[in-house]
Amino acid sequence: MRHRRQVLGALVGTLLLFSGAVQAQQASRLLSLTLPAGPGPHPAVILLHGCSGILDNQPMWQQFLRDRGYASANVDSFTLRRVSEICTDFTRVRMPDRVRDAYDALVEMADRPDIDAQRIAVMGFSNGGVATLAALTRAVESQLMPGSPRFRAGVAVYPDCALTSPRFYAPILTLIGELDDWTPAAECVTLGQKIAPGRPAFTTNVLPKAHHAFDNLNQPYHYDGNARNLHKHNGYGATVEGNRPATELARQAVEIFLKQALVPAEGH
Amino acid sequence: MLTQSLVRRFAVAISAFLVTAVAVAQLAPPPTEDQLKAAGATQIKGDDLAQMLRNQTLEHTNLQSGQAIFIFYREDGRRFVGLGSSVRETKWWIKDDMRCEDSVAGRSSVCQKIYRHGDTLRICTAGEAQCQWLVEATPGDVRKLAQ
Repeated sequence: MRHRRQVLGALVGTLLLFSGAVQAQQASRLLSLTLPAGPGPHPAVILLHGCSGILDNQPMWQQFLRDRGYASANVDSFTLRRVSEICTDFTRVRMPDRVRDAYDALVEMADRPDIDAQRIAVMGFSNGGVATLAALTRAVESQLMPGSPRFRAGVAVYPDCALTSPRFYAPILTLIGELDDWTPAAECVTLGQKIAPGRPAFTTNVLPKAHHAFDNLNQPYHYDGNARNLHKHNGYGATVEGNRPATELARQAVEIFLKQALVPAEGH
Repeated sequence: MLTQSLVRRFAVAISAFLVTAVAVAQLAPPPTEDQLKAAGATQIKGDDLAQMLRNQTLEHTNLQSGQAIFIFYREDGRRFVGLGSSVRETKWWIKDDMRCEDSVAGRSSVCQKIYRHGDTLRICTAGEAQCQWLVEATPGDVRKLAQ
């Protein structure tokens, strides 16, 4: 009897432990999942935030995408790690973690019956734009487990193009402001020039008179002296400003790009 | 009866855990320092470490982030980090058989062990569980980072 009680106790303890683990593991990676009208399966876009976390631009893009027939969801790389921002120190959440988050979200999105698993893109902003580029490199692809889903395309909005290997497995559109002093447009133009012929397209649209974070429409002109800036001589300081005409150009480019990049596969 | 029910729930919970765990494990993790040592990798120390850094350009590749960074380690303790078309300069030094340097991305300095595993050089950062960076050393400032 005593032995039976001990076994039962151990079983209950282990069950509770594993139930907790299951709950922790099952926390969804897809925040604010937005679906377009109709039964699907829908093409989808996974959104990766910048160094300040999820800002007002992401719901704006989600509405834009939904109106054009795309599902979308945000991936929060900060809250679980108890980080509120990394603009002052990019090392607080490292790029491999952001890439891993993107692929975890991709798996979850691809598993949904209302999503077309073959038509999922990733779209990231600033630091999330770097994560977008990173996720689509051949280097990262080489580390994927057999049978893992891949992204079909990427949109990198004002990313820092300076640190990424120029070997990608999917087409990429980068959108970046002409006046961006945090992630200079010239770096993305240069990266595009390094792409070998015959590889997936890497297109950079430089948006006139736009600063960093141009799609944060409520963001007034602001110079942040504490922002870590790899391209400034002293390592700090960056300008941000919302810009409606640049955002409109970006929306047009994204619409055209996704229409081409997420075209249904043959026989689909 | 109660025991049978608990066993059943236990099995369901285990299955759910395993399924979910498999679903999120998409990227192969880089090796840990212990795994590298167990596989026969040896740490580069002392003069060998200094020799592989001084006046060498190291190409750093991170297979988990797709990052590729060239750094020239000048023997006067300055290092020059290639960031696309620009170059950032910080300090480097050797301490306790580790390469230490001021970060260009954060506010801190970081120390790292370098292991040789066959033809491969791998960096293990102090305080990090995994050894994410591969490096390849070439003599001289081959990318003209210090000029």
